[in-house]
Amino acid sequence: MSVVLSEEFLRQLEHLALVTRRPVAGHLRGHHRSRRTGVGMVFTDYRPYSPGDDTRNLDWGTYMRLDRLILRLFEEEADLPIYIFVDVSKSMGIGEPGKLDFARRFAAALAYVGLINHDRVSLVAFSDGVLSEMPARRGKNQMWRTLHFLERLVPDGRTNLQNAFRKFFGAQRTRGLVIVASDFLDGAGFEPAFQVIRRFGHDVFAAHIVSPDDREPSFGDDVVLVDSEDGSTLKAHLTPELLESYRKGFAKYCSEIEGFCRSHGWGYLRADTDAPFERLMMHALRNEGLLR
Amino acid sequence: MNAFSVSPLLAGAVVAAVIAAVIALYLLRPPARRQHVSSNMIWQRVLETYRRVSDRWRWWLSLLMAVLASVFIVLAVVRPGTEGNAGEGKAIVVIDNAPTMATRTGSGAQRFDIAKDRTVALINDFPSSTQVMVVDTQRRLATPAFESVGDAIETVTALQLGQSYQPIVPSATAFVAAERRYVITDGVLLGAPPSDFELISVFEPVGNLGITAFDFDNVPGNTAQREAFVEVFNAGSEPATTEIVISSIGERRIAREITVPAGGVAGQTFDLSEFAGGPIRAALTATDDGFPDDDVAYGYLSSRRVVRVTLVSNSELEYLSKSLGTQPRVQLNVISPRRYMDQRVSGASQTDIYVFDRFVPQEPPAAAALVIGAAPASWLPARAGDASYPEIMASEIRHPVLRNLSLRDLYIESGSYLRPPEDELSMVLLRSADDKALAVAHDGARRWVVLGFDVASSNLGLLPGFPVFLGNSINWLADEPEIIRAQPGTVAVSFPDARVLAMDGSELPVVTVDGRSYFEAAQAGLYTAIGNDRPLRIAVNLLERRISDVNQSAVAGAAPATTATMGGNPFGLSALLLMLATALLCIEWLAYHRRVTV
Repeated sequence: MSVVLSEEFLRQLEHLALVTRRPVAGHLRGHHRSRRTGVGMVFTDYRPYSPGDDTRNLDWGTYMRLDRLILRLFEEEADLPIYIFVDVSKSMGIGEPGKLDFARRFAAALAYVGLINHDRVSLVAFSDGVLSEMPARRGKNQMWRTLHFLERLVPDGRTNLQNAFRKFFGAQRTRGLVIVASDFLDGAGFEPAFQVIRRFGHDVFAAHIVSPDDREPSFGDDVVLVDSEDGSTLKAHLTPELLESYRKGFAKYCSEIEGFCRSHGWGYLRADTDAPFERLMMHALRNEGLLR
Repeated sequence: MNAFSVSPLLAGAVVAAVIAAVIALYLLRPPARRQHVSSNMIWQRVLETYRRVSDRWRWWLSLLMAVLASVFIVLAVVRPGTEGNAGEGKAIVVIDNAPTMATRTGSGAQRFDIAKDRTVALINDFPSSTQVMVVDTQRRLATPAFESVGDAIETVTALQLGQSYQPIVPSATAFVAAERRYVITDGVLLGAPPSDFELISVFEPVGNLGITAFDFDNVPGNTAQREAFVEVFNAGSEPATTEIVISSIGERRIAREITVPAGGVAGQTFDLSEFAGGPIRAALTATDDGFPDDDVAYGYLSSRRVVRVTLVSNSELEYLSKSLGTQPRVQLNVISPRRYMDQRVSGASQTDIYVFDRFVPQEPPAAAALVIGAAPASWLPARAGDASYPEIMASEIRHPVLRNLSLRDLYIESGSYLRPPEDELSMVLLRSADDKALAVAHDGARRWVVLGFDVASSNLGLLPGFPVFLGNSINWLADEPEIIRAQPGTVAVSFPDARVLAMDGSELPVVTVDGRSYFEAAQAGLYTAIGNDRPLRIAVNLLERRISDVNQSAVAGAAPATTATMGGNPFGLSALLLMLATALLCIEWLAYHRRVTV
């Protein structure tokens, strides 16, 4: 399936930029605050001049008054490493509108915002591990590669967030913004996986993709519930009371994820696949502080 | 097809087949649909806390309701009561032949005669092929099976009034298939007929006066005077005047005219001092009286003689002597034990009953005796130990000495247990909770009643029932003929193989069952049962307002039934079964949609 973003929507995205709450550790020049000092616009500190320092940053006014060479330090603006994780487990193929399609469009839109702002955008498709990865790209001209990568994704495998994050961040990765687009239906739970990301100090934004069938099952009567990922079955007689209990249970699960993210200063967005996509991007993500 | 035209076995087979089909359909239900979901993770969590009702239970409940609904529908189809069933062309006619149906109407005919005429007319209107069952209300089927119209009319014509004042529509008729059911009644004693019966009312208001109370006794404190009390009830809608006549076997007769208000009662007291005793009769001489059976009542007046009672006491207890002295008919003489012994030697005693207070002669007295506070004596029960605050139980409440007496509050500070003689003549009146005798009555040649405690060491003298106890004892010891009261119908006598004589001397047939004799008293009167050592008088009277009130009808104002048109009754058991099946299906529908059943 092709990832379609309207031209008008893309134009609107061009006015936005991805925001991280923490200083980034990018290696290239960009528009984001970093922990390094160097060439930039934001003054941070003074330090004595050492031979070899860039003499353009000497504070000549201080030298005139104190007869000492003092160097002015500026916060270096770096690019933002953006890691967009797209859940491609089998559960993402269930529901109408499809969760994987939604995740692809979501990832494409954010990648576009990152690329046009010269951030380094990496795409990772995962289920029980890292299935495929698009190495970091910069520049608007990489958008076509990005779309091509996303279009090739198909649902496969069981969700194992922890394993996927471990495998990806096992290699050395620059600290940046991690965006996870998933339904988070992991039998092992989401917390161990999030703890993995937390240990590496990334800023995280969790996009919880929810289909209407997950949120409010419309089926009833006697059914055998078949797990799309592991094929396990569960016999159930779906009474209105049971369906109501499920709805409450699902809402509670969403609240647990959101609560974890908020408690760690991360962003969280529950993205219903039946909600207007462009409105979600232009308003909800801005409200959540991911875009500005 | 119906369950009565086919054999019950076949009907049962049909039901069984339907049940089997329903179960088979349940077993053939398609398996549960497979529904792919993103993950069972949340479902698993919810079901762990939610699943309380097992699927098996819901399956059985659903099956049960389906089976019941199916069986109801099948039974509704095969059940008689709809067109083409076994009850077609059959009718049940219930004729009220309670005694109140003898009430005469304005035309002079009895309600029962009118009922029979209407029944005959009703049956004549039936198609000639109709099968009729005639039933009366005296607990018997006049025709235990259906018979032709002609035979049914003969049965009705021969039907007689019954004697039971508690008529019923036999419940057995509810289980007999019939197209139509009728009750012909005045509704006085029978009440409203069952809902599935059509009513034919023969009620017509009439005037009636009846005696509803007749009793007599001595006047306390005046041994020479006796009184009778008569209560007359007016069932009519207008005040009525009548003459009450009290008469005995002799020439004595008292008449008094009274006026009784409409729907009310009037009571009158008559001085019977001049009556010698024996059978006595009260009668009304009312004109235009609809129900004459309640115009007469009978009683038995005890012998007129004064009972001479001698109280033998060392220390006279004032309330004992006063209580004895205030007893009707009692002429009291109080003497000391020494005086008693002197009189006994001289033979000068003129007494009917001795009352020994804490004194017992060693030789039996020359008359009946009431011994209060027994001491050892050869003619009395031996002592069986001391009694102190025993729990009292009246063991023979039907004994005349204990009649109308409550000893629930009796307590005995000290006394003696008695060892009653092991013969049929002695009877334990009071015993302790551990089955030891405290009072014994002896019904021998000379009667005696002995108490194992005295009045001073118990609260017997303080109880309201103490004078009653003394009166009962004196009456029993004086050997007055025992009188029991009964209503017309079956009367029970407390001893077996009694000879029962009516007032005209004729002997009535008697049946003995379980040591009691039973006879049929067809009408009010004074009967005598012989079989014990002394005759038992039985006063049989109506004396009941429910019976005399012949205008108190449950069917008054009811519209007479239409002439018989033999057609189907749409609201029979079939309709009920269908409604039940519908209700069950509705419940099943609701339960299914609420996921209670599968």
